[in-house]
Amino acid sequence: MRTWLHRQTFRPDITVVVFFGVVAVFFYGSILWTGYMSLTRSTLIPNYNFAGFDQYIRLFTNQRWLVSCLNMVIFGVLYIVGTLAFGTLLSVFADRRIRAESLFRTIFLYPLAVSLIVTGLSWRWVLDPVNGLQGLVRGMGWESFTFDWLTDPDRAIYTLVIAGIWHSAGLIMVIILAGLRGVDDDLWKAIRMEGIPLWRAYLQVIFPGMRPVVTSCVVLLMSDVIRGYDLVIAMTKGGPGIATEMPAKFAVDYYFARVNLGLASAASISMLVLSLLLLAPYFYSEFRRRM
Amino acid sequence: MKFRHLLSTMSILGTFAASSPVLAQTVDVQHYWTSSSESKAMNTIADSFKERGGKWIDSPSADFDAALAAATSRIAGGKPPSAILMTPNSALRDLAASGQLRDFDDLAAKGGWQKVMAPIVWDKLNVGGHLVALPVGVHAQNWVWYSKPVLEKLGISEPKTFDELFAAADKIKASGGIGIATGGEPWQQVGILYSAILALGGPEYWNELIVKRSPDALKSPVLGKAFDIFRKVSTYADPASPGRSWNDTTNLVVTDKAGFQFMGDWARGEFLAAGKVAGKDFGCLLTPAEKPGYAILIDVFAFPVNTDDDRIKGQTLLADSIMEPAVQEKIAEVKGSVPSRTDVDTSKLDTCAQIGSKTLATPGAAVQAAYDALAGDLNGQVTDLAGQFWTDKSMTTEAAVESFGKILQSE
Repeated sequence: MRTWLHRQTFRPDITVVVFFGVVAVFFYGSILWTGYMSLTRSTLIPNYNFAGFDQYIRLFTNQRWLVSCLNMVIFGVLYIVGTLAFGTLLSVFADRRIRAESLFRTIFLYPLAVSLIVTGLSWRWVLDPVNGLQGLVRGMGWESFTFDWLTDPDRAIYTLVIAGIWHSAGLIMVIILAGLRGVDDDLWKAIRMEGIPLWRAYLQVIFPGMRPVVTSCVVLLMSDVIRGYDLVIAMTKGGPGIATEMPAKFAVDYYFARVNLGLASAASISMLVLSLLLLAPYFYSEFRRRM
Repeated sequence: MKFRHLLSTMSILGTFAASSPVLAQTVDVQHYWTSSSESKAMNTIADSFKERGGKWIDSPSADFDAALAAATSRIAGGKPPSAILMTPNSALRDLAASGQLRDFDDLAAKGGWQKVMAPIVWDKLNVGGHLVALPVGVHAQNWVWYSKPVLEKLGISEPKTFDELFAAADKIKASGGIGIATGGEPWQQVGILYSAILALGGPEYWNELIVKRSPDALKSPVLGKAFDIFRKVSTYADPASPGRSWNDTTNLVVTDKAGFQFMGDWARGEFLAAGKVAGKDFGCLLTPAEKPGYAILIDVFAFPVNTDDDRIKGQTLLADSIMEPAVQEKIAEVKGSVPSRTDVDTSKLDTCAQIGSKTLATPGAAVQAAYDALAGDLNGQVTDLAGQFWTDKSMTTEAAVESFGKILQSE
């Protein structure tokens, strides 16, 4: 067996060709097909008659799509900023060599092991105005206590942000903590010698040097935002009304329940373009640095 | 030793292979009937099918959309289910037009099925002149359900108009109950809007507006009034309403916590499953109208083309089970629908079902519900609009009517 393995000459080129073949067919092929579908009037079954940009016009005059896009921006900004802030804060605390650090690290990382569906359902129960937190506090005697964001169309989107931050802050904490542990000890010695207060040391010396780590976190979180589907399904189902609809849910609903393959494909392609636009600055800066 | 082991394994496998033709007649049923009354109805079909010697594979999904999504992906993936529970909507027409569905013209001719179905039902089951779906029951959307004890306690009689209904709901609200129980899912909300349109406009207007989508009908003042009533109903929503499922909402009326609910007659099944009796514990009326309409939604089974002989035979056997009058009656009894066969004995059904079958038989009263009648994703778009109008109180009636018109004219 062993000698047989040794006799085989490893051909990296073949492996690479197979790999790229698979990627080309299943990844780029699917994108191309979706792009083509978005230019047809397909409903349940694909229809290959070209229909121009009709679906895109319908899409961008569709109220629900526009609300979905706006929601993605609101959710995205708050979720990314919130998770980064909270995760960074946790990692700084952990970085101060506290006692039982690994215990806390595990506790904060734990939500990540819970699926988004379970996260959403639990938060939905907690935030339910009748049976959840509000009902509990009122039951204890504080009758006027009100926390009904989940059922308030103007605020429901923020409950998604809360659940999202709870879910991802631990991951960001661990990544940033890893970055902090990579900081050279000499730098810390210099900081101590200069007598710089701790908060200034982190804000002005340590974090500016950790730009690549933070950028990776942002990209990671951004992908959560763009494919945001399960959390919405479990927590609000897009409601009240269409107050918490998201583009990914729009596409899935139109693909299946509303059997409009054309419009759903147009939505998917728009999401792809949107994410490329959002990620372009990142790729650009990475590319420039390597030059 | 090893060899003997292999032999015995092979012989066991061989027995399985040989016995499968005997098992035969398998159906794999993709459905979404999971509430207590619904599962009773599905079991009625399954039991009748099993009695005839068939093998039943149950593939349930949580709701209608999920079941259809699962079924279409299975068809696209080349492993179709042998029967899908759905309604005769544009998805059914699409599936049939692309040749994905088995037709039952031969069985229908043999069984004389066309003669025993109301014409509006028969028309919905046929696509391009072929019978591609079999009905399990006829539901209607525009019902109102109420708790008798709640109304009796406050001395309220059954409302005859919307004004009386709202006055009654106010009284219940003042006494500490929920006036009108509403579930905060868009499909439940849009049902109330459709019921209001049908009640105010009557069946002929409904056909002009929803079925023919004529631009003149959009100019009628009926639409604005219907949106106003819809808005008025929304003001009775309790804090726990958003996201609540229809059967949990019906349960509020069942347990006398709420007075009224606007819901299709599948709600009756939930009352019955809780051991309540129509006319004694709960009451029913069609949404108050001068000329009552009956917006029918038919539950049907569609049968994707299967190539396996077992499964084809299973489909035939299932078709016979579904069309059996005794099964049709039993389903109506447990689920709250009206039998789709007109030759079924309805004398045993309760007062609400009697109202239903009488209205269905009234010429000109039955109309297609919007879910089936609207082409493509129009119903979905109206549902979004209704959900938005329900929650966003700053949206004016004029704006809603205008968006409604735009949606109906967009196809």
